[in-house]
Amino acid sequence: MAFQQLIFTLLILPLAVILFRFVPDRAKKPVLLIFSIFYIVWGSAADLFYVACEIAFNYLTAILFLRLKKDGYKRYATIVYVSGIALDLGFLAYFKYLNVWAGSPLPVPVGVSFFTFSLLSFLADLYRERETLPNLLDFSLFVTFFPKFTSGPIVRFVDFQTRLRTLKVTREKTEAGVSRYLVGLAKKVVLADSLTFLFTAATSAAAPSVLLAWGGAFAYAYLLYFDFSGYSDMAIGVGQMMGLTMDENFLYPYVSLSVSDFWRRWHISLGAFFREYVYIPLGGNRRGDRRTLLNLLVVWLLTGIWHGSTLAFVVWGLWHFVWIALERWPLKKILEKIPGIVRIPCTFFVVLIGWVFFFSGSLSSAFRYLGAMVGVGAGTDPGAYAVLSSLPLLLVCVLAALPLAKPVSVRLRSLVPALYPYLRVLWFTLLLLFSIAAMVGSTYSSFLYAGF
Amino acid sequence: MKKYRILEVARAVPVLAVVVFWIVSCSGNRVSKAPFEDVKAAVAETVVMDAMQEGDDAVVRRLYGLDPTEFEGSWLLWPLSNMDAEEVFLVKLKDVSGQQAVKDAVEARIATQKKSFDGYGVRQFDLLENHCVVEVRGNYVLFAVGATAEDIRSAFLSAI
Repeated sequence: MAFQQLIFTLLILPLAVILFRFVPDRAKKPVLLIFSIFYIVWGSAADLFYVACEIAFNYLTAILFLRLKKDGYKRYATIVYVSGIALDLGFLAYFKYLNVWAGSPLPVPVGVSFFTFSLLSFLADLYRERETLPNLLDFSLFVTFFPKFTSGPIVRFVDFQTRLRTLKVTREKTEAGVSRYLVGLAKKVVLADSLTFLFTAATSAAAPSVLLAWGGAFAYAYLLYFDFSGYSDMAIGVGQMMGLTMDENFLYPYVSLSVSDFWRRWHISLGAFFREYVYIPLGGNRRGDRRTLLNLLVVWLLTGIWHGSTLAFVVWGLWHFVWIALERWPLKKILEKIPGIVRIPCTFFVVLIGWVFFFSGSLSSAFRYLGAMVGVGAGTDPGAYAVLSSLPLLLVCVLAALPLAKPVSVRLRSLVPALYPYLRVLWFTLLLLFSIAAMVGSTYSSFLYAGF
Repeated sequence: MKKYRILEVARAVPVLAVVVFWIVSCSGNRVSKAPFEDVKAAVAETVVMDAMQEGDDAVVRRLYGLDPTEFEGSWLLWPLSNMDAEEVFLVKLKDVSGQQAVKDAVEARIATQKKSFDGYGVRQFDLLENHCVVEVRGNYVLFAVGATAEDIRSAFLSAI
């Protein structure tokens, strides 16, 4: 079951929201856990088995190292803590890398990269005494909370606990959640899924022309953005409907002024995780330039590896590392003098080249594709039809990726205050209708980030 | 330290449970060393070609969105006309990392075909619903639709 399926949108979610509203406050957390278990089992019973084992292992690990610490066995506590982290990472590594290389592939549990990070956050926050040991129900809910389970946003344990203590369903939260969910749904099924036509035309062509190769890369940039930010919007929206607020995961990344700025706007929760649990513990930028450079390298290598097992993902991570390092030191003063109107497209271009490594799957395919983009090895397949027929859609996507919604909404509210509530309802009704039409008229397409 | 032993043992239990589960699950999904041509020949013996034709790389790209040059071998038999649903697609992967992509492509193809025949092609829809086989075994993937789909599956499993 996925957020963008008709059965979820029209039946399961409304039923769950209505049911949840009438559940007494003290029963809300158990009911949320039941929803989450149901959501996981719907995908695969094996996934629930893995998650249950991981929950049991990490909870017992936490109890053990907290007791050891309390009794003064700090060294032993550290060993237990490190063994917990190592086993969690080993579990992730097995499914993401060794499972494939060993030649005995098992289906990768849905959301393994995300729930493993939840577990790491749990152990780290407890070990660093930022939070006390929760009861098993709260911890299980933190790991399995269904809106974030498959593709995030990655929520720190300490933040989740704070919000769980004030779990409350209100009419305002539900309304905000519904509208947020509808925006995300439209992003996914109306925009992202429609862009697959151009992207597939470019990547399945034996030898794409320069035009088709650029069109495909451009389509992928927006496809990935609307796919993943659409998912995040839906996850945040469903969370709000259940009374839990999660932080933003995207902030109009394609208007970034630099690659560093891009990473403050793209998959924000992943960047925050690496900053909190890797970059800062390594010393961050407090130990001189050389050490900062090394710390950045570690973070970007891990970011690349986290996304996939092939060398192409490592190169993608290093590509961003190189640009971030350049922006931080040699290009810093030059960038300050360049106007934003120039920096935005330049940043987009750098990110676009990075996406070629991201979607190609292998280095050879990436370089072949990049070659086609500059005319080296470009073929006879012009793809003009695919590109031209997708141009209006691409234009809509470019506009939709700009931070226009809020200013337009504010302007409308001041221009026609009496009509504004009706216009808002009309807008979200239209989004729902467009989304249903798109869902009925196409086959199911999974979220790209569910694969990570 | 003895008082911590129970917790040490208890936290090892879920780890062992996962390991046992992996071992059991992996046993049916090993990489096959059988040559592609041998498996193809075994499958071909059980195929009834009346309603199918061989498809080249371009057809694979068009119907599945997959690039056959990325496989060690692939063989496609696709419907002779728009009113047929019989189909066989055999793939030997270069490595198992491509397993999920092929599986997803096959499932997307099934969904597309079902949508095409839903409501008017009763026989074709029945084939897709009840005589459709998808087998993913290590580096081999088989997709078969047709009255002899079960025979094709048996031949495939014996050959790999």
